[in-house]
Amino acid sequence: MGRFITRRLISLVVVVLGITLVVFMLSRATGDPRYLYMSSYSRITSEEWDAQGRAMGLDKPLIVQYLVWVKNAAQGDFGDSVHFRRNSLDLILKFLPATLQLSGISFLCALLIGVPLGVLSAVKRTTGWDYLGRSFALLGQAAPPFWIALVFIWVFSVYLGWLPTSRKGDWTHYVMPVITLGWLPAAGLLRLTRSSMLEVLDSEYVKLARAKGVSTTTIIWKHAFRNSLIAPLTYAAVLLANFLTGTVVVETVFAWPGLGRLSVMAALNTDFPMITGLALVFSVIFLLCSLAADILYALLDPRIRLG
Amino acid sequence: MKRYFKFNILGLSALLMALTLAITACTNEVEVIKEVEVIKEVPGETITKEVEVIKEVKGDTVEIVKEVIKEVPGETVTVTKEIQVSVPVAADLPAASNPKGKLTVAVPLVPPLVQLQSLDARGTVGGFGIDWNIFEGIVRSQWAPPPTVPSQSTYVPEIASSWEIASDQSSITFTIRDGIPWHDDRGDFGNVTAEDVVWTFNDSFKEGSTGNPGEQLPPGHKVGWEVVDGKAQMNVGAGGFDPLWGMLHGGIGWGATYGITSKKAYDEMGEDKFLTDAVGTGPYVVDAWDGHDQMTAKTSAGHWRATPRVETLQVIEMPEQGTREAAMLTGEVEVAQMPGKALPNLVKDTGGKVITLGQPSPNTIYWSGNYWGETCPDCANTDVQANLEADWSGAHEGLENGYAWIGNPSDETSMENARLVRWALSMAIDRQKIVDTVLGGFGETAYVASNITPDRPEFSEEWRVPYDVAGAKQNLIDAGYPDGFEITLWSACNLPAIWDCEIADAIGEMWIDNLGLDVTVDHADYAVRRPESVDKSMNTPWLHGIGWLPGQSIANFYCAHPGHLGGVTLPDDICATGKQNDVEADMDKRIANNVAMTEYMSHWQTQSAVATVGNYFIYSPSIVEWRPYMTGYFNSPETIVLSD
Repeated sequence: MGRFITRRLISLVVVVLGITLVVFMLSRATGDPRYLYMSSYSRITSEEWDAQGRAMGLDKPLIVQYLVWVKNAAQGDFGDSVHFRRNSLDLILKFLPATLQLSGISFLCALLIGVPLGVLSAVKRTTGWDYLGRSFALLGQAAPPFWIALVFIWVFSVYLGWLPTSRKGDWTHYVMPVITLGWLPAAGLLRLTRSSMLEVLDSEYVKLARAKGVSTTTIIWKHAFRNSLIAPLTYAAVLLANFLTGTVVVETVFAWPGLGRLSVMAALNTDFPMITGLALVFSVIFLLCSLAADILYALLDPRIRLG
Repeated sequence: MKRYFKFNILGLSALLMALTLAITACTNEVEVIKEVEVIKEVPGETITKEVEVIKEVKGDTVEIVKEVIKEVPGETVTVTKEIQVSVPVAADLPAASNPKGKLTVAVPLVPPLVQLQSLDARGTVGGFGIDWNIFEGIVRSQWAPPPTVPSQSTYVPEIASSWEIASDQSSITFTIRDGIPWHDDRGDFGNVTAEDVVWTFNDSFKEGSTGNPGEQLPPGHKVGWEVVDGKAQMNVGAGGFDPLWGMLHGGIGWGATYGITSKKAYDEMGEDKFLTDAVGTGPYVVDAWDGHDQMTAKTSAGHWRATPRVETLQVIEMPEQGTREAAMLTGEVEVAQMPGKALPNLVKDTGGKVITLGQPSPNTIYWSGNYWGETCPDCANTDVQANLEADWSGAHEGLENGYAWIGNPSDETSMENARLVRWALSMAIDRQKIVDTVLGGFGETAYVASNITPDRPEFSEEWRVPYDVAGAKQNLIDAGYPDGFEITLWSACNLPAIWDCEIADAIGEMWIDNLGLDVTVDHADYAVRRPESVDKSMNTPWLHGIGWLPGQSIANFYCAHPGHLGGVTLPDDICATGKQNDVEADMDKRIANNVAMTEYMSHWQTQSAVATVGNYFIYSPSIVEWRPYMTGYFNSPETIVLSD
């Protein structure tokens, strides 16, 4: 296990470097950030233009700029955001808690709703519960989050007046963003859990347990559920990474000041230090979650050996 | 392993619970300006100099004193003429004795504060900062109720109590008002001094500055400021004196440029802290300015100029239009910035009122790739046409590929055919239909990029482009394109307050239906393609537009220079006419120069304006009074009165 984790951590560094290199180059593909800030009635001279470039470190070759960035990033300095004029890492850490709170609660809700509903749907196959669960999953996977968000706002804020339209605040502000963000993954978890459970419930050892007179509750929760967890929990680990890195739409519609909004603003402002810094953070989160998923495999299924 | 598994399931559960806990823990009437000018002619004397001194007498009344120095051989006689101007500044509302309540404003963008001119690429201090009453400029424009365009040439004192323009126009010397304190919640920084003013301006001129205001100044205004006899003096260098200096140097309530900042605060707080922690002089003091989230501020008690009637101001970023609309309907916000098409229903449902702030932008097709300027004085290679391939690749590539809308200035036939094509495409647009449907009636038809709209006296009927499909088709036949051609029209959707990308969709459909063109409408974000307009590789027609003021110096945007262009440059002789406005003092002549440019642009249809889009704000009936300036942002919260 130790060797496995060490190997994965080394490959993680290589993958992160690769990702940041690609993102660094892509962030420059739209051109020089000075192009974006130059006003429509700019009277700037070519000397002033060059001076701006030197001040922003743009006078060096791209690869040199990248290597300088890697060296600084390794020391925790992601460079100053061109848009905010502040250290990128400080800003990422400032916006991170809002995303963590929203994502964490959504993740838990998705787990707590998707998995039990999946079990219920499998156990009560072809009954009303099953159809209800599958309908929930179908709707969650078919409806785009921005549409769900806007419909929620119009129904629960404008017409019913129960919830605030947007922004971060007390618990009422969390309800609609959490459901919007959590519905799609809950639906995925439901379907995965349901199909895993059905597979396990049809297995020989479950039939044997039934034949031996083991109670239904024990069969479901002890024999079937535990063995059907591998796929949903693996998916959940990746899901957590998606939550932390993919909240752009929900944060935009609900005016939620998190990393999703920060990413959009970084892209719209050709804020290359911020874009690259975010790519680094996101890729590390994603790879660590993938690593966690692999470790979970081994913990949940003794037949799987890592190494 | 079984025990290990159990332990880890328990451990996992505990971890999830801990994570859960950690996460959850976590009105006065506007006075008419009256000018009484008494001029005494003295036979035999020759007027050689004129000095304008402006002094404030009362809080809401400004006395303008003109000293005309008349030179008589052998002696100099000073004759003083007085012009009393009663100026309705926004602060002439009765002072509030007890500010109360909270005002919440929803806008698409709350930029991060960058409180240092040399780094303030978005103009957050001089733009948003002044509009939100956090910072103040040295002067302001006269207040006029929107949509009235305020005077561009008469300014009202603000931090500067008076100023004097040197007779040879080599400098403007500002007397700084005594006793204006810096906001003291982040330290004791004393009062505003001439040093602060000089430092603020000079910082934007230093090497490597990316400050937005500094870019907009003519070179002659960037030679530097200095403290002279306790006053702040702006020196004017080669390039001349722009008579509309207040447009460029002050918080004039019109795309304001410079908000004055504290040198002492910078020195004591250090750059990192100073960048983000606002220390202004305005009627509101910042509690928190969190970019892309919100700005909250409280009233500055006993402010020298105006005490707001609303105690707390909150400006929040709501990027999604539907969310702002919902927040307005639920009463969560009192003011919201909205596109015109959303307004009719919103007005009906909320009982709110609509106001247009800022000069509406004429959404205009810039026929990019037509770089016709002969010389570019500030470019490394000044001969444009000899360096098309290297420096103006949009034109070079466009001509190589035979883009129908691009003319070759050295080939008369090419120029005429391309002109016919541009006219054809412009004539195939039903502008009124776009205004009625896409803009929901909130907008006006437009025809010229210089923003001379049909309601203006200088508008020429010859500039009006008819909706004439048959004529458009004939033009294409005459130009050699009877079967049409492929064309891409770019319009970014991320700046809806000034450019409405659905206009581009409508234009595209009209070109397809009316002319049978193969049209692609590109909605790439502004940041994606803007670099093409700066490095001059742009040759895709695109929707742009600037809400120019009458008489504004507009030539720089239409003539060859190293900066951002609309993808089109005009010939040098036309530019020479337009550039006279850089130093022209007479407003009528300035407007005439712009009309001359417009004549050319209309004939050649280098740009085809389609419809003006205003920057609309809806405010709830709970606001009983508001006297905003004509800037493009939410502004002047100090004048807002909420109902009890």
